[in-house]
Amino acid sequence: MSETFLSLSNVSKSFAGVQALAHVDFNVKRGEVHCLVGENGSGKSTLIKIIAGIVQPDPGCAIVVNDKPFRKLTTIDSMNEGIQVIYQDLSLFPNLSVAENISINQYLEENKKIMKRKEMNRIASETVCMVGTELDTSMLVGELPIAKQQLVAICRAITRGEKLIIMDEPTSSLGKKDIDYLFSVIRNLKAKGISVLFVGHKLNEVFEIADRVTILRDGKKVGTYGVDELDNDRLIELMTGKRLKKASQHVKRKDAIDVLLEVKNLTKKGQFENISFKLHAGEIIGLIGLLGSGRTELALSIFGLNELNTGEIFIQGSKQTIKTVQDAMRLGIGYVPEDRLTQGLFMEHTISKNMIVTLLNSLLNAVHLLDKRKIKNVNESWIKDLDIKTPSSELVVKQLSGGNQQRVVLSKWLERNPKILILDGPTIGIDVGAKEEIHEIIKNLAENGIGIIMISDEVSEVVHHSHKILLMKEGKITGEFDAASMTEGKLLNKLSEK
Amino acid sequence: MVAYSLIVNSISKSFLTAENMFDILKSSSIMGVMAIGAFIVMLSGGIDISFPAIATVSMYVTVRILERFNGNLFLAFAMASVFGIMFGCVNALLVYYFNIPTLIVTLGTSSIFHGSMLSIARIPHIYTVPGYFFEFSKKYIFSWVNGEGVTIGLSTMTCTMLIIAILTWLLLHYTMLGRGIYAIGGNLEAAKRAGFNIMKIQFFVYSYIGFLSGIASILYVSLVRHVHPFNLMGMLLDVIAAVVLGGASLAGGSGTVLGTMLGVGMIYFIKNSLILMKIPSYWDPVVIGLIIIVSTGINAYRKILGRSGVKIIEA
Repeated sequence: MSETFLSLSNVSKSFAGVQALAHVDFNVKRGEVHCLVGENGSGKSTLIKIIAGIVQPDPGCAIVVNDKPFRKLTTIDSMNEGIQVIYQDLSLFPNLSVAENISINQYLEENKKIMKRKEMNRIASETVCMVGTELDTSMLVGELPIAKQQLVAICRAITRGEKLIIMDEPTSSLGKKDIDYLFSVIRNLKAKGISVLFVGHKLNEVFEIADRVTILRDGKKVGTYGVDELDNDRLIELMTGKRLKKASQHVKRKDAIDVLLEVKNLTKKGQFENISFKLHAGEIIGLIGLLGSGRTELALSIFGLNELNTGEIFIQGSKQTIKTVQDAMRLGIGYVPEDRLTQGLFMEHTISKNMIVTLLNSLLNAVHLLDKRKIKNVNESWIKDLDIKTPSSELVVKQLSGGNQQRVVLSKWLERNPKILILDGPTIGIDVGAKEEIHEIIKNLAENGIGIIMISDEVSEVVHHSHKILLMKEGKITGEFDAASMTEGKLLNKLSEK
Repeated sequence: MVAYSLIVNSISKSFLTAENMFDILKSSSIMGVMAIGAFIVMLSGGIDISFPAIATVSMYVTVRILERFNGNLFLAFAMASVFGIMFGCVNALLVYYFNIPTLIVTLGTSSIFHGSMLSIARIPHIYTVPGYFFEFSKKYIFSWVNGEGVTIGLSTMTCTMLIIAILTWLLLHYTMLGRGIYAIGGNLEAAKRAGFNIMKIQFFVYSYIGFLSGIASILYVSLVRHVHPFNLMGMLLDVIAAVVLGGASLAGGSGTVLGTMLGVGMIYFIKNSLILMKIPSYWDPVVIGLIIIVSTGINAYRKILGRSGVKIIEA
């Protein structure tokens, strides 16, 4: 038995003339945690699909799994050799119990016709135990929080003594605590000799969990490195292929005098209390807090989506009550939600329709119908200004990359000329390179006098891309810092201390 | 429900009698059998509105044939269910291979099945139904005669429905096929990835409702003693209402056989009580409509409360 569990050499794949992967060599050792990183379109998902047997590679490659050579893998081959994929959407059955979800693969595999509850529960509790976690196997999966559902998916993946588990961006919907727990589970699997191929977006996680890292760019392999050979900047450079500006710069602030927004003692029972701060024109406030700290609820309250119990809001010095989104919009407040997929965009509609949805009234012609020419002008100017990479404004938003989607959301609000912009997790799920560009856009907006509240749970994002940092914990602001005199390490400590 | 029965009983003394209760059970069995089929389809994430048409056509063809040849009751059930299964397979074929939304498919096939029967048959009424049909509905599993000389007991029709309900429940809970139906209703994509045979499951689901429509149609002939081209068609909304009342989700994946049975029972219970209270039967649909809206409304409202509750805890 060799040390390498899976090796692929000279793997290429082209779809309708587009080369998704070109001559990639790749291997996974037994019992290692291997991270696969790369920007969108770099070929990560194609590579995973080839390993899972969903996509067949172009001829000319050699695959060896478990010391057995294959020309190509089918889904059955792949499963039989002990490879399981946990997709981003987890592919669970929300209406079935945990026990059923975990044992269903095995039942299907063995082509059993009759269900035995006892046996299912036994399989389920054994695997739960093996993963080293606790789950109530009689609960319906749909009733569990997303972090627990993920554990169910992991359990299901290892019921048959799997050798390699592929996790496709498993952390994208988890909070910090859950991520830590997930990582401890991964380490546990590793200790049992199971290899984990981890597809990641967030670089700090890569450094935390990986043994080795393989970087893909434009369908080619840039290299495989031991995690200790890399640091953050080097990894970004390898991923994007360009040397980024040294990230440790802080944004410079202009002298800000005008107070755009002032809130005093905002309280919403059970969510946050006594929140007071000031936002100046041209200022970027980085509001940092973990999931559950009340940061999003606070933003929603300022935007009129979450009625306050007590507290006062002043816009440019005059007291205002914001009860509805219409109030907030009239006062020049824009809000870009955390989950742009469900809250910020109509995914099935075109870029054009998404952009104009907040300003339909201003695009009417003399007979109160939408003016095609005006729409076109709006679309073209934003696609140009925000550098949205698309062949046409008639493309469906779903087909854009995360970074470009985020720009469409931004354009939607910028078109209304907001004075205050609340960005909730503006770079979640966006590639490193595109992230930098979004930050650039945010900085430019601030320079034009817009006051920005940027909500984030990434320390580096707020330290490097805001002027003032507000730290929120359990519904209270526990610290206010000047970003220029703050370092990532210090803030991380403050964030994690009780 | 208990309070309601007491009120009804105080208006009409014949409501809460064993006779009336067994009668409700008997007459609801046709709808009950259909509702089980409709429930299974809904569970799988689809909706079938062609079952009344399937039942009507199977019923017509079966009786038309048996009227000319010597037959027996068993043959009648067998023939009607085979016709039902055939029609169901047509639905399944369209749903699976052409990926057309189930509502559209069954809307279309319903029209086609029923329409062709009306145009080909010319005289779609049959009054000369062979005698062995009626005997079935008059049989009782056990019975007694009350003081006024009326026979009361558990009808074979009720029994047919109960047996089907129990078998369906066993199927759903103890076989992989049954779990597969829940699975595709819960998350079709995941079911595909897990390796469920979607084609097999969908063919089963649609032929099962066809099969049950066939059975229900023979129960119907046996009870009313003639074949009518439109009567069964009117049951569509009541059946769907019963399934929804029973807690099945239109989005698929949730609900139980017991719930469906209770839904059917409730609709019949209320219809029957309205008759006994001498309220004109034009009011039936109004009352049923109200019950659907109120009962599902309460559930939906609870969910809203529940959801916001969860949000606060997570937040």
